[in-house]
Amino acid sequence: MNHGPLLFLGVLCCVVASWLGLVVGPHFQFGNQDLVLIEETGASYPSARDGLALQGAEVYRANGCNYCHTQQVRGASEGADIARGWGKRRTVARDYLRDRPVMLGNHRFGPDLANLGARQYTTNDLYLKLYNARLLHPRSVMPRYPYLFEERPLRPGAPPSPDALQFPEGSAVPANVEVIPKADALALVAYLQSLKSDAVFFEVFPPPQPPAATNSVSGVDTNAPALGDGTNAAPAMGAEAPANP
Amino acid sequence: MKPVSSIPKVAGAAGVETPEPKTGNALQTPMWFIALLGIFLYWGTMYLDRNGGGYNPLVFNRGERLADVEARVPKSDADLLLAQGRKVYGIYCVACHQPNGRGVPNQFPPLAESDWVNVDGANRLIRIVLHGLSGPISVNGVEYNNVMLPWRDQLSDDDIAAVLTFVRGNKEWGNHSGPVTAAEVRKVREATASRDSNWTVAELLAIPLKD
Amino acid sequence: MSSPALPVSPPIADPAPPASPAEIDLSCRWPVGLLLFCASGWLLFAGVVGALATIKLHAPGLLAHWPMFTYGRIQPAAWNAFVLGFGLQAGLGIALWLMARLSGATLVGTGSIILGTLTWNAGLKVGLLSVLMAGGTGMETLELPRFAVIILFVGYALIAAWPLVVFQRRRRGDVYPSEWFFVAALFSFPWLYLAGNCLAVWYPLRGVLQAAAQAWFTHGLFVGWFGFLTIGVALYLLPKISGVALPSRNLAGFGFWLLAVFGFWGGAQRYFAGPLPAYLTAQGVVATVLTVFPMIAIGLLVWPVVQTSRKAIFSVPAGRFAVAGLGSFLAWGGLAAINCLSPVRAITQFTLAIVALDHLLLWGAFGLTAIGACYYLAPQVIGRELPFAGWISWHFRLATAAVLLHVIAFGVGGLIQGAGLENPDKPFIDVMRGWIPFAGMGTLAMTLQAVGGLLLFANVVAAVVAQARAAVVPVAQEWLAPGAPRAEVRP
Repeated sequence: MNHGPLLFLGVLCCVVASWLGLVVGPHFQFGNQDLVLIEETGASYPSARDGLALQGAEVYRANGCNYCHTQQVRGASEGADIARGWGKRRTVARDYLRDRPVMLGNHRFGPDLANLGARQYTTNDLYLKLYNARLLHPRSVMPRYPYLFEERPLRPGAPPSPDALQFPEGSAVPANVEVIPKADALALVAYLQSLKSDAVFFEVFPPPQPPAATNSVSGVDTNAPALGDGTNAAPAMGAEAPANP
Repeated sequence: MKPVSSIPKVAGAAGVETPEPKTGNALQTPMWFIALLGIFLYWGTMYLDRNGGGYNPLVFNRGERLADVEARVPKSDADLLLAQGRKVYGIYCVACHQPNGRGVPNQFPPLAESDWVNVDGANRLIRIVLHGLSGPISVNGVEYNNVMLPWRDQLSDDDIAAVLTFVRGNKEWGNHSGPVTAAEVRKVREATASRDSNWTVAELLAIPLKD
Repeated sequence: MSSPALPVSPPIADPAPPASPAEIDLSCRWPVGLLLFCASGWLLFAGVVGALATIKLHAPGLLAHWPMFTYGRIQPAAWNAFVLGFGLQAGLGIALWLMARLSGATLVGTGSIILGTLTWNAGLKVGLLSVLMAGGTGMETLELPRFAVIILFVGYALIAAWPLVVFQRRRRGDVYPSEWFFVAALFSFPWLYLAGNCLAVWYPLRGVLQAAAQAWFTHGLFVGWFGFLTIGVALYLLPKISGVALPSRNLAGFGFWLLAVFGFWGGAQRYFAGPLPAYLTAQGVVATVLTVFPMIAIGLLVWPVVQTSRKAIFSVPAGRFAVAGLGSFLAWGGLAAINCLSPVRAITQFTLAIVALDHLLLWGAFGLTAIGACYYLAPQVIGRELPFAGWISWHFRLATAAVLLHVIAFGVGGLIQGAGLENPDKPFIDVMRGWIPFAGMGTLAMTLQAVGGLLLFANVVAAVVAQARAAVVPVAQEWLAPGAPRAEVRP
């Protein structure tokens, strides 16, 4: 191996072969997957995000939420994701057709978010989590994002703003201050509520639930609610979180 | 504390740098290394074969194949009946009525968009399949004069129900008529058990479309 | 260059004898010295910012009001500072010097290299600033925005062309194995970085294919830059220090090609059971397991050298660094393969253990080897003793202790985290609290790394300043002396 060109060509072949095999080949194989038409509703899946949710995806990206949160659910035989109620089925390639960039994440320092929009969070809960997660779960290690909110003094006599965060009982928040979500927080929460990987694909048809499953998600059609509060035993939830006024 | 030098000490005479390193031939590539590599290459191909899902992009679960995925596609009884009907049609009917159900002009009448097929009730169709048909017949305003064989000995009630369901409900052909059940076929078969000749159009027209 | 008619003749185009080490060092002084200076500065920065990022894992309230210090921005900043700041510049600096030494030719293109280094640093600075100011792209290791990446490419081209020119002008008969690894790394990086950026960020493929492109790029960078350079440097330093020839050229070549063939196919195993089709992750598993074989080959190759002259190697800090770095690299290969086994990966996926594995490669394998090489070549390139030579051994102790501590703490913490995640009856919050102490140990480790980085940086800066003073002061005195005739400024 005393020949520079031979060395160069050999290495080039190795790199290009892996590139063709791992990126280009798959691109020609399933890069043209189509959106799926859901017959019952006539809507396509994954559904398009509205403008606010798209802006929220930018906020999610800019603040690097994907360094702590994944957006992928593993199959029942490969991990406890489904048992934890993070989804009804594993996620597949077609769930991400509209995402740009795709932020799958590699670390779970926080819970998975692939189906956050299907869980039992009110909009106010999500704001509180962003503002200070320890207001809801005192032992949480999620950072605070106070810069997504505006803290302003209450004007004496004037009614509090309808957009202000509703704090839970007993939280140590100054009484004369109200906290208003800024535009970034509005967008981010809209994005979080749009996260749903719930269409039934036959690639990963959810296996029939055993009648006596180990925990709460036995045989029902939804995700168990949030895990941050330490419970995953909760009744099934159907609808999306109600919007904040 | 003695002073420390950061100039790298190298083997050889002090102050003279050793020559740049060379390669020797003291070591032979051990055979066990090659053998182990071969074993693992074999393992790699086996692993890919077992867990690679046949390189199909629809296979996500480890150890599955496309067939496993397709087996999960939900199937109703109607789907099964259609599949069986397609099979029967492909064996017994396709030679004359053609894969597209359009028949052959002047010889064999069409089934697709046919005014004999798309009627409310299969009484006459069941009889034709059981005992055949001979003589002139007008389909969609075109005259045909040929013989259709009887199939009563070859096809079971289930087969006839399936193939008629397939023909009458075949959306690709433009047919949208309802299914035929095996019970209907059995009833007709019992009612016409004594018959041993082909039907003619005149006889058929005397029979009501449905009971 | 060999002529096409005689493809087997040794490629000696220049009949001149190899340049002397002193000539080569002198030709490398400013370009390689600048790269070393920048690389050591980025090492210090990456250590400090990395410590800050790790603190955020267990003390999330720290600096919460500053958007630029949120974990999701400072973590990619620390990662890129190490990869692109230290990893690329130290790698390029070492490659320039070693290619010149091994080719027996003086370095050419010094102006271009200095310009390229300045360009690279400018691009990296604006890129990192952009990541901290919300401009990150969201794809791991490809976070820098497009304009910064383009600047980086210009800088890289200005630098990386020259080691290849030197390689083509070589005046020695046989190409030493280290040079294969350097040439491979220098070619692989731009290809990987360009293709990764294009397909994952600039003109993104659809859906999860972006993640496939990103995984391919990251793993390719791990093997094609950090792996190749770690081996190349270790294969140079250990025989050089010990004076023992590398025992087999064939085995070295075999290991090189095995690594090139298998190494680039990994990556997708990060998405086990994730939304990539099964065959992609299965390929990643097979490639990662087979990558153990080049590691074994390199281990077999280096073992006799270390065995026969342990004393000589361990008497030089660079030798200790190289042994520790190569050991980390082989350990990384083995652990990465073990991590592919399905019972293991079910536990380690998405946990701190993955961070530990990456750390073992970046800070352990490449970091230790490259720091050792910096200490080895800095006094020779700069042309004077490092002023705080006694600190080098301390840096070795700090850096190895930090890598061990970080990898063990995050490894154990990751296993605890993974076992907790796999138990659906354990509340998520309890899982999180379980690994917090281990994150604390990670902070300690990163602090040790930062202190070590400071030792290297101080040494390099002091040596450069002393050398610059020695070069400038006589000239300045001459200039400032009243009435003296003005002399030409010597370069």
